[in-house]
Amino acid sequence: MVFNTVRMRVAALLTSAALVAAWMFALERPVEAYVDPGAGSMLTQLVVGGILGGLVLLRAGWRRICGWFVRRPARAEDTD
Amino acid sequence: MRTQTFDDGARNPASFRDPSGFVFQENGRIRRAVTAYGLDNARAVRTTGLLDRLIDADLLIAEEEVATTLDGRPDVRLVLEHPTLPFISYPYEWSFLGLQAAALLHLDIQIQALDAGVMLTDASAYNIQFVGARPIFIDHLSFRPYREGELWAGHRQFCEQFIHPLLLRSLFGIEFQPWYRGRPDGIAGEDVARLLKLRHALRWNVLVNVVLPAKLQRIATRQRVEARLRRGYLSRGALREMLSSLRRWIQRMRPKGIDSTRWVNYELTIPAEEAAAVSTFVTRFVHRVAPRMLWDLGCNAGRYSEVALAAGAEYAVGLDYDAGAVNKAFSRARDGRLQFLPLYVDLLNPTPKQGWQERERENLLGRTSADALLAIAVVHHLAITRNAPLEEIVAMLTDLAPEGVVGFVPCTDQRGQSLFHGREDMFRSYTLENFLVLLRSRARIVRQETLPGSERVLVWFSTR
Repeated sequence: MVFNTVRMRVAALLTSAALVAAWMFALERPVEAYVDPGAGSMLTQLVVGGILGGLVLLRAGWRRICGWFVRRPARAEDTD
Repeated sequence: MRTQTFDDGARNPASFRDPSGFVFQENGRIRRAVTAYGLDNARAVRTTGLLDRLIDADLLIAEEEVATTLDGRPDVRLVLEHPTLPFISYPYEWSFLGLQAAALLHLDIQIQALDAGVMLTDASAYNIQFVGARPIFIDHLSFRPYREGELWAGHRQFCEQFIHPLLLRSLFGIEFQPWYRGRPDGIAGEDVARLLKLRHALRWNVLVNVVLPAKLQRIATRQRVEARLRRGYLSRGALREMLSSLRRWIQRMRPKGIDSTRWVNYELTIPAEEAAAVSTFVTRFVHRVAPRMLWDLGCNAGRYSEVALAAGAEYAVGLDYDAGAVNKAFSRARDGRLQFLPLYVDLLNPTPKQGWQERERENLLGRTSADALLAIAVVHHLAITRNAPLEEIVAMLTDLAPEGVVGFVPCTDQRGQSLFHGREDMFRSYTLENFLVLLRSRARIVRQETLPGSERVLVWFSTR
């Protein structure tokens, strides 16, 4: 499970909203399927996909920010 | 490559949904025609090497290209041939563990496919069959090239045909098979959503696979939203994570209440002496008859099917209407890698023909190919608990297979008292003498033996 706490889920939902909106309204993707994919299922995928996508971006961004402040010590653990 | 003539009557009645092709039978061989519409996708998928890898890993049924045309069907561009499976079964006959294994196979294939740039066009549970307890994917035309950013068109079908039935059992302890049989295209999300308590709905996977699709359906079907949804974009990474997360969730599901069904522990109550005597009888029977397909009626957890397979039977199909026993039998088949497929079937109400034109899904008795049967402890259940006429039970057994071992439990039997108590009205016709007279009127009795320590009798019949 990716989101274990309610706070994380809410945060992820909010993050996803903007991404979902962008994807839904900006990009063109023809869907070809001989089964009915179900509109509710498709909308859910966009929301969930947004959350997952958002999480990946957040994770990458957070690492970068951390990288600005944390200096990686060279072999610090060996100097005891 | 050679040409062949096509007779439309040979088309498999279940094979009409996919415009890319259809399955047909020719001289007992299973063949698949690929139409001009489906050829480009079929060729493109073949160049990825995915199908060969799946076939090598025993996840997908083998194929061989046998022709490029089909007489009488000018739209056909390619004909494939597949090996014949021992027995065709349907998801509403599978145990919880069976449906779970099939769901995991589907996801494994979809994940591997995605990594190879291929997508499954649907998520039908009927695209999976079993060889023993091993699921295998059978539809070679369900694959097509992945298009960057596309949504998973099979998600809803996957939920209806795999997740919702599994949830009925894992969250509520409800037998999914009768419900599934009544709705062969799968169990509706709205129905499952109505059953959910808040504590269920708050679980992430339940939320995104059951609650949200059901709740968002109304908003999503508004014309403007739906038009935009069709242009929606889902990154490949997000899709892959969605599939992996589903896989982890399904693997963790456990069938609620499956260990407390009425007959789940029946096997443990059989005295060792009696079990040994039955095993010896069955072994001797199998040595002589050498069945290729054995049906085990009232198989319970599959002990005697295992005995029959060890004695040389090639394949066994077990039938029982206790969901716990069938589940246990499935784990026995899986753990022992047995050529044994246990199915959830009530003999008083066997699977009917159903689906499109009542021909899409076959009835149970229409799939009979048994050359031997075991009915060790089932006659008294049918005759006493369920009031089936003894004469008709005997007729059914002798029609199902030319040879069989049938157990008869007299109404004075000590262990059977829980069934016999209060059913004295049934006893007049339910006697060993009457049973043997009826059996002799339809078959020859090869061998008869009273089991040690009880009044139970085993009879080996033959109509040959």
